[in-house]
Amino acid sequence: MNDDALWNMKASALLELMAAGEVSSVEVVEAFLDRISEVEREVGAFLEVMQEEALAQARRIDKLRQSGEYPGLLGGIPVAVKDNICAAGAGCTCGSRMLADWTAPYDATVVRALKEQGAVIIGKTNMDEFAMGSSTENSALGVTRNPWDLRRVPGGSSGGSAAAVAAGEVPLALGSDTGGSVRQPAAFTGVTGLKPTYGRVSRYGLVAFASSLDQIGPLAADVKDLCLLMDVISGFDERDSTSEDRPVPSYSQALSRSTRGLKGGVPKECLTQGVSPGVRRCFERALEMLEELGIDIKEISLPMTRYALDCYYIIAPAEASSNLSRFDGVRYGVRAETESFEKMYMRTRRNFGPEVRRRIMLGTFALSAGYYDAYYLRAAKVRTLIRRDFKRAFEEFDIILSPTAPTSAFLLGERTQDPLSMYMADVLTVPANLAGLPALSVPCGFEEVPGSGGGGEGEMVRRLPVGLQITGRPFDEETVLCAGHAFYQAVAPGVEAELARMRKGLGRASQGSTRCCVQGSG
Amino acid sequence: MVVGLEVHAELLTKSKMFCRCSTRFGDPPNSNVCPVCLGLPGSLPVVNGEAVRLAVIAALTLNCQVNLRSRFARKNYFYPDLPKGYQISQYDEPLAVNGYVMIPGPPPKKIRIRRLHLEEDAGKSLHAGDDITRAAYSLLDFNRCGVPLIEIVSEPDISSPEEARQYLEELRRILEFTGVSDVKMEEGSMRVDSNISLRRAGQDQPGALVELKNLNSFRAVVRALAYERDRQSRILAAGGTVLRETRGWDESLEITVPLRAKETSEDYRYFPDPDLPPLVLSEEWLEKVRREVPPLPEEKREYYVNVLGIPAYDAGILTSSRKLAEFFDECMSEGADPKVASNWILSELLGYMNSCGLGPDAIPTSPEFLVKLVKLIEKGVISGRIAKDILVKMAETGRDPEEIVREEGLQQVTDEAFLQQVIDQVIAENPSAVEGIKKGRSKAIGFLVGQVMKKTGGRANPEIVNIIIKSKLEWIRDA
Amino acid sequence: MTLNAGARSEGKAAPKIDVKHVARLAMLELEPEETERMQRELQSILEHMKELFSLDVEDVEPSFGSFDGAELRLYPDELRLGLCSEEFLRSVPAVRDSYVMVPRAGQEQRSSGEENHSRRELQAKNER
Repeated sequence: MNDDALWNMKASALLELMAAGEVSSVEVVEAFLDRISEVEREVGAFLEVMQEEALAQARRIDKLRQSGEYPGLLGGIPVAVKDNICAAGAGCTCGSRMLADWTAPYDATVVRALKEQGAVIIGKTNMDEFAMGSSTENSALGVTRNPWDLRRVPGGSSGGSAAAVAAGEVPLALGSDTGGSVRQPAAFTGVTGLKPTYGRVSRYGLVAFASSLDQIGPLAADVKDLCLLMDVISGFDERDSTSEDRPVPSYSQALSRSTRGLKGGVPKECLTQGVSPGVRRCFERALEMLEELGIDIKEISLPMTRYALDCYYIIAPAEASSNLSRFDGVRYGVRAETESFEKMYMRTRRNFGPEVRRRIMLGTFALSAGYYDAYYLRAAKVRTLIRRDFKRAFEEFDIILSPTAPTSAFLLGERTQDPLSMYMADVLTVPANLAGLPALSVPCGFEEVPGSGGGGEGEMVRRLPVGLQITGRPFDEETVLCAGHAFYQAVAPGVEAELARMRKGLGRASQGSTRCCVQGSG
Repeated sequence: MVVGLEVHAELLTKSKMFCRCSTRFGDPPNSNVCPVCLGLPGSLPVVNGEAVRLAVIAALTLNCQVNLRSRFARKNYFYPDLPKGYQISQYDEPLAVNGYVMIPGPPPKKIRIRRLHLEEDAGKSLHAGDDITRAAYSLLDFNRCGVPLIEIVSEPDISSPEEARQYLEELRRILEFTGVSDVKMEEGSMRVDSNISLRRAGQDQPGALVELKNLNSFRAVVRALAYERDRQSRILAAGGTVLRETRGWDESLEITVPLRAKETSEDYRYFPDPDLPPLVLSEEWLEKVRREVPPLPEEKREYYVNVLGIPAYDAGILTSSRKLAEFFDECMSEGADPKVASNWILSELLGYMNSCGLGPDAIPTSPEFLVKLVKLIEKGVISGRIAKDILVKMAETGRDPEEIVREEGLQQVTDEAFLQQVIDQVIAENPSAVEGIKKGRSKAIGFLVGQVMKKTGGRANPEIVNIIIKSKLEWIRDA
Repeated sequence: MTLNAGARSEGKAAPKIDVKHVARLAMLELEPEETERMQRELQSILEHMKELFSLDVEDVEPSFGSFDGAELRLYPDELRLGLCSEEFLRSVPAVRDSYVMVPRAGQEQRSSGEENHSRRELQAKNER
């Protein structure tokens, strides 16, 4: 293993190598499959690895290239897909026992777009059950560990996708973001992740958690790679009534724009409660670097965002309680056979894990007779106030800056007993979902936490990645990505050196393991 | 007696409300399905514009105020035939409100319509196992799932079973005539639920509301309401209290039976469907639809009588069904004479259809063919008598009348030399008739014409025959 | 749960959730000890949301989504191929003669009246 290994390279570099004929897609895919089998025992990012299909697709792409045909924007590049996005013929478990044996009969619009652009879907990644969680610990089908510290969570709910990219198991991955589920794990695992504007990417084929908040988003090692995915998945879809019919720019090309003169706002509310000193230090250093890049930074106030988390934990469960009603054992998924359908429903729905049950209960309550006005309707009104805050802010500012999460990755099991402490992990990310805004998480440094200690290999200090969140105007992903790219280039030498060191440390435990990394029954 | 009716009608679209699966009735089970109408994980609804157009036509025809902005909402409840665990419907922002229907009475009365909204249908369950004590299960077919429906909710303005019947008849006629729905209760494309309560004499407030379900025909509505009226008044007369509950109509026993107590009624947890932005209609679009609204039977009837000169009674029959009126209208656009076409439709075509038990939606020939037939008579190619036989053949085979005439050699005989011969023969064979004519019994001419027609198989042109016979007999008289 | 714990309003106590009723609405079966835990957890979540009630939202329009002024698109009434019957039925847990098979409604959903009516009622109910 060395830094020149194919699996250690970015998608943009791999595309160049393949275009130049220096490597084939089969070689690239095999490199990543090998890497998966090397580290997966430790990381546990995947629920299903589609080895045969991936190699078959790679061979097709190679043939296309050989015959001089254009293989598409992502020709031959492996992509991992979160297991709540349907790919025809593959499992789609949503991290739940409920769908443990279900095979999706159709492609999500984003999956179809990936296939049309030559991407190689290499596997489906682990996640919190039905995307409800911030650590991937709510998956009923396996444990995903943070590659930076295997005792820690990768964040969630797209923890599998984030961990896979961080560990070098795949260069690109798709996640979904309802309250931070792409950005927060990206921050925890030191990669980049974007939640696009609501309506920018089709939700058709994404198993709904909270329909008015959900967006599919890309994860990658850097912003340039992120743009490759965005260029493929963005755009209007006639199957999604909430997708917007407006032109899609080339995000990759937008990166060359200058960031000089951009106005950045820092909400004073974002550094109050719960932000760790390490995260705060990283963020403050990031602001200095942004100023050095010519971005004009000022403090602003978004007074209503302090209500965002409460608002989110009413709206998201309310929608979820309805979205998850379809899991009744009648047409698909597991079924508990009993003498009446009511009993069958209740027994079948026992397959939901505790967090999912909790949110269904909370959401059902918020919509129930007598409480609708006090909870759901009130939250919908507060959502308007939050949206207004942002609208006002964006009259003056081009981007809004904050840490992505108040802390770096926490320990496995640390917050599972206290739902409220888990919910706090979303406090800085949910406002963008409530307002439908594009928001990017990009690595901005490291927080030092106690290491595993002890003798032998245990070190005293462990460095954990911290993310910077850049939020933009609706459908102005270009500015967000452009600023993120400029910033990342400034931090890249340090971040990538740490990343390479972390990646090198992985896989020691799996010597002699076979290439078998299918967990659960996906 | 205070009654309000909730009527569901399936809209006549080709595809479903939120996906493009077929709405065809009677296809093999679970053959018209897709991820959307099956509620597969990840699927999303997209709205059928034609369903919106038809619902707006219904709303306009029912004198409703159409809301330019309305919203779809989810009605949450669990039932095996409801795939998503919620029905997409409309709740506090319906498509249309404040309409009315006039019923004939006597006396005529205005029944107000509270609201009209769009929603999707559920699947269909068949029940197996004859007895609740036996192992029992249901069989589900999702073909109907997602078929567009309108729900029309009346105000409680109905005060007798007969008024309920008239209101439903009126709705059915309007929905059928405007092409919004085929309103067949037997196929379930029109369904009725009812609310009923009795007002105690001397009290302003009506009593407890009883909801009636399973009303599968107009007759069932009338009988069930009459039964409920009597049942509730007996309870009240005996000093009892009517329970607020849902009751079902038992067709065979002709009674209502309790289904579930209203106190434990469902909490549907309605909320705006986050998958669908608000439905916004423009003034221009609404104006366009307003112009497209087909005229109602009474408007059409007036037009037939006043403009086309058709007798009122005939116009009434022609406008008794949309299909029939459409057929007639198409005959007009094919250039037929209104009265002639109307006569042919009413006496011959409907006569034939009645004799075979065909309804107005199964007219066995096309307007184009009927007009061709009429034109064949006008041009003198065939006689009126032959035309009647040809019509039967057209109806039985669906063929073109010109083709029938050509192939079967039914053209009228106008060859005078040939007719002279036949007439001479007839005169020779009927001396007594000729004698009669000589004595001035002009009726006998008709007899001779008849004989000529008989000999020519009805193909002789009766006018020419008449002229020849008259001229020959004049000659005879002169001689 | 809000950022400024110090600013928490002194609003009235959160309502007590009728967990059993809510579970019935949600078609969830809770074990006795789960009911208790659920009650505790939901109650503490609601307690933390109290600050939301300090806001005056009387005249605020609700946002039910992020579609700012987006209008619903209407699609032409044209047939498109869906799933074939076999494709769908493959994933169904119990099938008979191309129908999806499920156990029938339990007693509580059936007639609360005379037993001998229930079959017909159910049939009729589902004719709808």
